[in-house]
Amino acid sequence: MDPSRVGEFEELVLLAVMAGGDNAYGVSVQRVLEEEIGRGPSLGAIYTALDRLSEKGWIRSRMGDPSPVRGGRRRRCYDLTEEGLARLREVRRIRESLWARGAPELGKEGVWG
Amino acid sequence: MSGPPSAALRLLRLLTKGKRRIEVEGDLLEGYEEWARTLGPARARLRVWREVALLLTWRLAGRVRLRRRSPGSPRTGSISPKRRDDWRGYVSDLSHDLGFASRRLSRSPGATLVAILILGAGVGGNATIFSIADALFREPPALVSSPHELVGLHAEYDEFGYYDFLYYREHGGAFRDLMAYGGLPGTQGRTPKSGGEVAVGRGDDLTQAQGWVVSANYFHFLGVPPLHGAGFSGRVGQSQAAQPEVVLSHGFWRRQFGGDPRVTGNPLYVNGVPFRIVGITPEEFRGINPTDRLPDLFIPIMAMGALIPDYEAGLRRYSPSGEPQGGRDLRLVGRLKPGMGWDAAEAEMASLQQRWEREFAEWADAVYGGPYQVRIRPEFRLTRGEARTMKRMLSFLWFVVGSVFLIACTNLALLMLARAAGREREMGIRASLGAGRGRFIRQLLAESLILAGLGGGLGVLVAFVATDAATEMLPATIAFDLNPDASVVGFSLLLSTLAALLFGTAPAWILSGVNVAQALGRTGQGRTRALFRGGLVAVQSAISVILLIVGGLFARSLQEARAVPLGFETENRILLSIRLDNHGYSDEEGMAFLTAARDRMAGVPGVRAVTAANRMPFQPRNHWDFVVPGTEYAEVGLYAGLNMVGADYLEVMGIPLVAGRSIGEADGPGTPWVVVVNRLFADRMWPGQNPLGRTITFAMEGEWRVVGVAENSTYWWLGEDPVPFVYFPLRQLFTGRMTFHVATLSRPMEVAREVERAMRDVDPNLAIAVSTVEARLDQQLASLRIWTAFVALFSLVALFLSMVGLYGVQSYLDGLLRAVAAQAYGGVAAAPTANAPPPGRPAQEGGRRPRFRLAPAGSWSRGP
Repeated sequence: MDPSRVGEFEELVLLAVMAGGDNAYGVSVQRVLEEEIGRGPSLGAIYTALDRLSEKGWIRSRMGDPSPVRGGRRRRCYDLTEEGLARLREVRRIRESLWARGAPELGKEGVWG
Repeated sequence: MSGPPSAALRLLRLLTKGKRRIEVEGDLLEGYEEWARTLGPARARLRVWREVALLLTWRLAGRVRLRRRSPGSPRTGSISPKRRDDWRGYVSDLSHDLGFASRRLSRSPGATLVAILILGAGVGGNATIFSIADALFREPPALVSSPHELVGLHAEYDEFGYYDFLYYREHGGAFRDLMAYGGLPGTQGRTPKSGGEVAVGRGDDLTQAQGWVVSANYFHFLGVPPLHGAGFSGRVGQSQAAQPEVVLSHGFWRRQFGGDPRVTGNPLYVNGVPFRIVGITPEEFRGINPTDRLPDLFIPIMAMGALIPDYEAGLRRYSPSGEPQGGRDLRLVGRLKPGMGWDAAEAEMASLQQRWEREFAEWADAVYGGPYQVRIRPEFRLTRGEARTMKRMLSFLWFVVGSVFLIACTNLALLMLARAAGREREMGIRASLGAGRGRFIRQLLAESLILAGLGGGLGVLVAFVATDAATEMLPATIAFDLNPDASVVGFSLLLSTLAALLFGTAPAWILSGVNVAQALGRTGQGRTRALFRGGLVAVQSAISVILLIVGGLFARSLQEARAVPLGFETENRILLSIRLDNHGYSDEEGMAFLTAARDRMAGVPGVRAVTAANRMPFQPRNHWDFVVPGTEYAEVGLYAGLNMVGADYLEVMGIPLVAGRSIGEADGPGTPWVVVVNRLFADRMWPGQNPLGRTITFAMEGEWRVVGVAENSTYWWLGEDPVPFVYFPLRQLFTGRMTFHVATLSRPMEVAREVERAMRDVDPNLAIAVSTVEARLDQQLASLRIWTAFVALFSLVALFLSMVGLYGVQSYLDGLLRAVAAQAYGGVAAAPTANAPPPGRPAQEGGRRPRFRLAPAGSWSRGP
C-alpha cells in the first residue's frame, strides 16, 4: 500500500482534527464527524485512524490536563503537522481539479470551500 | 442505576494499557456525560457498551491485519527455512482441522449454540467465585509495595497503644519500619472495621465522614504516594496539633469535591477545626486488609490533639503525673527487613517480648493484670475468624456454582456423545479408508477447542457482569476490588478448555474404538456407551434435585424472615441521626437541644409523635452483663441489650407495655433512676415474681429501679434469638449520639424534609442522616433476598439444563434411529420400538431406543 495515500476515512479524520484547532481528541473528533455525516463512527475506528495518521507523521499528539468530567483523566490532544496539512491541501487540489474537469461550473463555485 | 457501566469500563481496563487507557477511559467518561444529556442515561450506557465492544473488535482486527501484512517480518524470519516449513505444515494441518471442525459445528448450529451457552454459564459462574476467592485469599493489596514483607502484630484483641507502636518501632529488630492505624478515637467504633465518624464541612454543607487515625509514615510505609499533594509532612511522634493535616480517600474526594485536584492545600473543616488537605489516595488504593472498610479521611495520630484536648498525654504509657495508663486501639503493621526469614523474625519477636516483659512488668500488671503475648503474622491475609466466615460463604457458593457446572459438563458430554453417535457411519468409512484413531480424535479435539474458546469467552463476559452483582451481595463491611483480572480470564479459559476436552473428547475416545464392520452395517450401541450415558443422566438429575431442595430451603427462610413479628411498628417512622458530641455540645446543652428539637418537630404537620434514642432499630449492638444479688445472676451477669430512650419511646415505636409505665418526660437527671426491662429480662431475672420495684445495677452507676415491663421485640438484626433488654432514660444516661424517631400520619418521606428543616431551625450546623425504619428493614432483608435469588436462579438453571440434556439426547437419538430404520427397511419410515425389534436382532435385547426409567436413582438407564 502506498504510505502517502490518504484514505477516505483518514481524510475525514484529518479534517475533523483540523476543525478541532489544536485541541482535537477522540470524542471531539467523533462529535464533529457525527454532526457532519449524521452517524458517528465508533471510537475504535477513530483511534485506529488516529494511530495510523500519527505513524505517518501527519498528526502529532500530546497529553493534556486532567479534567473532572473525565474522572480526573487526562486527554490526548491531536493537531495537524505541516506534513498533514500539505496532504490535505494536495487531496483538495486533486478533487477540485477533477470536479473542474467534470463539472466546471460546480468546481468554480467551490464545493470544497 | 446511573453513571457509565462499570463492567464495560473494567473490561476495557483489562485489555488496554498505559496512556491509551487514560485517553480512552477519559473519552468514554466524557462521551457518556454528553450522551446521557442527549440520549438519556439508559441509551448512553448502551452506547458505552457499544463503543467498548467495537473498540475491542478493532483492536483484535488491528492485530490480525498486522500479522497478515508482514509475512517477512522478523517474527517469522527468525525461523529457519526447514523449520518454517514444518511449522507451516503444522499450522496448515491445524487450521485445516479447525476449519473442518468449525464447518461441522456450523452444520448443527442449534447444538453448537447450546454447547457454548452451557459452557459459558458454567465457566462464568466459576470465574465469578474464583475472582472473589482470588481477591480475598491470594491477591495482595493493590499499589502497596512488596506486600509479602508486611506482617501484622497480634496480641489479644489485636490492638495496641501508641506507646507500643513507638516501642516496637525503636526496638523491633526484625522490622525495617512499622506503621499504625486505627479508627478515630473518641467514637464508639474503634477498630478500622467501623471507623469513627466526624462531621466534615461548614455551614450548610455539613456531612458525616468516616475516618482513621494513621501514623505519619503510613503512606510512605506502604509505598503509596498520594495522587495529588505531597502527603503528610510530619514525622512519627512529632505533634501536629497546631497544623493538622488530612489525606482524603479517592472516593470521598470524587464525591465531595468532584475530583478537583486543586483542593490540596485547602482547609477541610473536621468537627469545625480546619485541617489542611495534603493528599488524595490513588483510586485503586484499598488499604492493606481486604476486610477493612476504607475510610474517607486519613488523619495523623499526632494531629488528633487538634480535635481532642489532652489527647497526646493519653498516648503515653505513663500519664504526666506518673500513673500507668492503658488504651489500645491501633493496629500495628511491620515491614520485615530485606532477607529476614520467617523463623528469624519470630525469634527476634520472642526475644523482644522477653525484654518488653522485663521492662514493663509493673506497668502491664497495673493496666492489664499481666503482660500480653505478641505474635506476628503475614498481614494481607484475613484473620482466622473472618477467613472462616468467608470460606464458609464461598464454599457454599462454589458448591452451588460447581454443581451447575457439573450438570453443564454432563450435558455437554451427552450432546457430544449424541453428535458423535450420528457420525458412526462416517467414522466407519474413514476408518476403512485408513484414517487412524489419532486423526479422528484430533478432529473431535479441534471441535472441542473451538467450543472451549467461545464458551470460555462467554464465561469471562458473564464473570464481568456477575462480579458487579456479587459486590452488592457481600457484607457491607467488606470493601475490596472484585475486578476480574488476567488470572481470572486465564482460569476461565483453562476451565472451559478442560471441560470441553474431558467431556467432549471422552465420548469421542469411546466412539473412536469403532468396529468398522458394525459401524458400516448399522449404528451400534455398545454397552459401555449406554452405561456412560445413563450414568451422566443420573448424575445430573441427582444434582439438580439437590439444588432444587437447597433453593427451596432458601425461599422458605426468606418467607419466614418476612413473616417474623418484629415487635414494633415499621410503617411511617422517620429516623434522624445526629452526633451532638461532634459539634461540641455539653450534656446540658444536648438535653436542651433534645427538648427544643422534639417540640419543633412535633409541631410539623403530619407528625404524630416524636422521641429520641441512642440506638435505632437494627443498629447492633450495645449490651451489658447485669449482675443482680439474690438472683440466679448474682455471680455471672445476665447478658442483655440496652438502649437509652427518650420519653414515650415504647408508644412511638408501638411496643406494647406489659406492666408498669414507660419512660416519661419527668425521668431526668434530678429524679430517681429508673429502667424499663423487656418481658424476657423479667422472666429470666425474677422468674414467677413481680419485677416492678426491683433494682438492678449498671456499670458503676448505682441502682436503677424497674418501673415497667415492655413486650419482647427485635432489636439488632432480623431473625435474632430473643434477647433480654433494658431501656434506660436518655436524660439519665445522656449521650450525644442519638436518633430521633418520628411517627408520621402519612408516608414518611413526604414529611421527612419538613422534619429535617425543623431540626435545622434549632441548630443549622448539624450533620443529619435521614432514614426510615422501613428502609432499615429492607436493608436487613436485602442480603437474604439476594442470596435466595441467587440460589433459586442457579437451581432453575440446573433444572433447565438437566431437562435440556434429557430431552435433547432422547430426541436426537430418536430422530437418528428413525432415519436409520428408514434406511434399513428400504424407505419404510417406521421407528423401531421395543415391541417390534428389527429383524436379525434377538428380541430379548429390546429396541435400541434408549430408555430412561424413573427408578431409584442410579439405575436410570439400561443399554440393550
